[in-house]
Amino acid sequence: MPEFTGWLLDLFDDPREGLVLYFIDEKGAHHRLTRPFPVTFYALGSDAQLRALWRQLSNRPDEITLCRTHRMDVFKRQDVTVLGVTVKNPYQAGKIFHETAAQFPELEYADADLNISLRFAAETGAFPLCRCQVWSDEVGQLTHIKVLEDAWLLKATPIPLRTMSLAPDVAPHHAKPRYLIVEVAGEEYHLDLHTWRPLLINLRALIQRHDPDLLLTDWGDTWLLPKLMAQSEKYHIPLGLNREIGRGVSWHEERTYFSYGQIIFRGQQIHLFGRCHIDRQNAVLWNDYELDGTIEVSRVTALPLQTAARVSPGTGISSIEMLTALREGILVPWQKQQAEMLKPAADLFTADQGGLVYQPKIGVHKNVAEIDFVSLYPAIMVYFNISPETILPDPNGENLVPALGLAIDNSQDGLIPKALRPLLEKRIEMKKHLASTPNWDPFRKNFKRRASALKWLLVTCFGYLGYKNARFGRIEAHQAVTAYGREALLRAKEAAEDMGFEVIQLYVDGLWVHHPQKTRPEDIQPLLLEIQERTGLPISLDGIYRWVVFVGSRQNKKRAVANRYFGVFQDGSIKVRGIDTRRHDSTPFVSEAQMHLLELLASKDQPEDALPEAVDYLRARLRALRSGHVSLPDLLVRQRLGRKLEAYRTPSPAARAVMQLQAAGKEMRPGQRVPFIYTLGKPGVFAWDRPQAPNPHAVDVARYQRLLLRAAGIVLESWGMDEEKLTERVLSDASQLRLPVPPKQHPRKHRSNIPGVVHPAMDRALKGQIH
Amino acid sequence: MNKQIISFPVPKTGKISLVVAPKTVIHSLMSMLAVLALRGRVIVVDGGNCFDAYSLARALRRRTHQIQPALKAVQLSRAFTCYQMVAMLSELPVDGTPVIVLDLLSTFLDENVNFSKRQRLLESSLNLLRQISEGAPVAAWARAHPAAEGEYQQLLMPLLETAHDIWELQAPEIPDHQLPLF
Repeated sequence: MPEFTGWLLDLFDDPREGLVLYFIDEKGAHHRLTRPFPVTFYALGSDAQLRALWRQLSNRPDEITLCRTHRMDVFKRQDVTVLGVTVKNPYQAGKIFHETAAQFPELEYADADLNISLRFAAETGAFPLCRCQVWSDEVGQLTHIKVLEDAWLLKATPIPLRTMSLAPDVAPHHAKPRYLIVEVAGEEYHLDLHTWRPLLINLRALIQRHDPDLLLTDWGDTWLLPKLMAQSEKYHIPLGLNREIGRGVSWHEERTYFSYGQIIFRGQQIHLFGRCHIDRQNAVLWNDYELDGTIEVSRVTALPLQTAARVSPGTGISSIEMLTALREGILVPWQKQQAEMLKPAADLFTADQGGLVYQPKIGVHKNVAEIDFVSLYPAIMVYFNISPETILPDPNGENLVPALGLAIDNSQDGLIPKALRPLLEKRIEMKKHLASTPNWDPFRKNFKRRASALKWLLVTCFGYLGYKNARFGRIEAHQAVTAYGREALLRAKEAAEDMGFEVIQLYVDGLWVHHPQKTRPEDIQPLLLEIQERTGLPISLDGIYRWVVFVGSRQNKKRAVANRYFGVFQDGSIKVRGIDTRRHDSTPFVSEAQMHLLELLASKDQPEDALPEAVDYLRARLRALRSGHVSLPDLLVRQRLGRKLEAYRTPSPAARAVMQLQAAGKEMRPGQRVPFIYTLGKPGVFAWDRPQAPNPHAVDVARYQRLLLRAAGIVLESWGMDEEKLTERVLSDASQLRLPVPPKQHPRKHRSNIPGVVHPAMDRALKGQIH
Repeated sequence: MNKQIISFPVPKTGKISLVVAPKTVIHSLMSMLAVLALRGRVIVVDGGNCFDAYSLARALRRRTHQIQPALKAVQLSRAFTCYQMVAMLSELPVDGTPVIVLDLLSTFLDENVNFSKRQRLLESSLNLLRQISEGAPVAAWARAHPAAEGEYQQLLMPLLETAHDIWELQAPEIPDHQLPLF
């Protein structure tokens, strides 16, 4: 008899019981079960080395069992002899492995540092948040688990998660919070942060009463939970943040790392046991896909929810690959040793290239169809079987990679295609489903967020193939993907030209084409079929633009830039890439104005008819700016601190803002975004998170004016109104600048968690309250 | 572009030649590589993803009209981690082919790997280079860091001790003040 049907919420190793698992049943009640869960890591080396290791470890029979066995080494493309070290309690495995690696550093290791949820998923098929049937014995040991809905199901049964939200009333790095806002079961409570004892008692009561499965916090990792725990200890009022009794929370250190040429900062993390904690401010891509997408990531990567919320999509992809390897009996290397094959330097010219880019024709183009390959690089990896072990140096193979002289071994499916295929298929299915789901459908948002989570995983999988620390990365496989990508795009271009289309632009995985008589989606279908026929890859119509504008580079207007464009589709929706409104470091004042201008252009049959209105709008925005009617948060610039402060020879505005924060005792790390306002005089910036309130009269109005007119010029230039003309036209009627104007409502309201100053008078009122 | 090219003597069998210099030295190293490539096969192990094929092609073009055979004679492999660097050096053919290692220390400065482990791996790499140098010319370049201290200095020391010939070049000093425009 099944004990219950429910969802696997959390699992972790335990010093006494091996593996602890928390489930939620269909009524929302939680169940704690345990299970012995021995884990195995492998050592690879010469017979003599393995014998020495055997001798060393064989005197610990209570903790370890040893075996000589064979496992598949994906890089060597064959089974290799390994020493399997099985640690009876998974809690001890990490310690024993690190001792072993320190004592025998010359050995290679595999399956050594894997997340326990991956091991559990590989062994039982059950992954975090999966719906399952669970059997257990009378002492609470898990005896059997049966997965009812796999990770690739499009519509999974919703989990009855009980969520409690905890957030301070204000960003703690900006000002001192006054109360803690608790939201649970549709109720909202404000707990005073100045009186800790009652706060702790009330919070404990709320946690006990509602027993949440998930704590959703703001700044929970970096401020709130550490604060709560410190006060809890001080007042001897345990909060019961964990469900698992007797366990402290798990701390993960903050870190700064490079990703795609950018420096990224991740704050410290606090994970709970038996209950999940997600800090929305520290979660990866939370603004993009929220909880629905995070649950999706957790399910498909088999990483616990708390981990899935905080790891990059690259780690997610790596987990999917490792899980596939574990299931296939392939060794997961601890440290990848394989380097690039020796190749002639001349080959670098052909091999070491990226995606194909065809410079667009600058200016306005009407009736342009944008067609994109669906997840091009993952599709290439799956359909052309690209994986580290399938790439062969032998140029005599039949399946030569275009222009690389490498061959693909198609005798069996590669590890990477095996790992990616279900992910890609789910993404394509989800895209189709989304296209047929009306806007009013309550599940549309859920689908959109989940589709976004899958998109990010797929976007990253290609880069991970070439990433130095990827367990299954290989540079030749990475190069093969781009080689196929270039070939596919060239074939698509040829197909379009053969069918009478003019190619306006090619950009890595998409092309923009124009045909004077083919302006409806159904007119494009034959082209899609032809491209699919010639490339073997799925392709879809993104839409047909009423008009699209490709803008020149900032340095040289005559020089086309492939990823800077904006346009309006036939359904009126706007697509924008590479201009201010899409940039993270643009101020809301500028980016919202630019978007408003685009909306104005989109609202007219002839975009040039919008010019007088656009000029009026810009004048109004400048009047608002000069008269202090633009809220200070709308003037905030958020730039990333690119390096340590001392490494700056000439400090950037962000670095100067950080210097101000440092003087106020606030530390910032490279990779963190620094909000600041441009101000008059030196140092020219005011760090938003300084304890003092900014002086609204010190705002560098001229600078914001320049930024606004520059952004407007980019959008209006194609209709004869470049920045210079615009400046002349907008500023010509100076008398209008003195007209009294009421505060203007923005067309798209900026949402910010940072409470802002809306008006100088209000700013003065707030001054006394901001610390 | 005006680049100052330094003519390094080509390395000799039995010795490890070391250049400690800023990144700009790459053009001079490509020039030395061009000389070697015209004599026969050369192996380049690139630890910093800094091999400059265009610079090599330009250096070859100054010496020959037939640059393709020389480009084919240069066999390149890139290491992106210190583990890969050791693995790569251990797999190099010991057949007298000259070996040039570019940006040797770069992968050993990876903070994701424990420092003592990196030191041990560097030691292994240097042992391998010593073995290779017994039968083939070996040259290595270590990128000079402006603030040579801490881990970098500790990693550079054993490399300096291993090398037989050392060229240490400094980047020209950049004035603190803005130069006059006229």
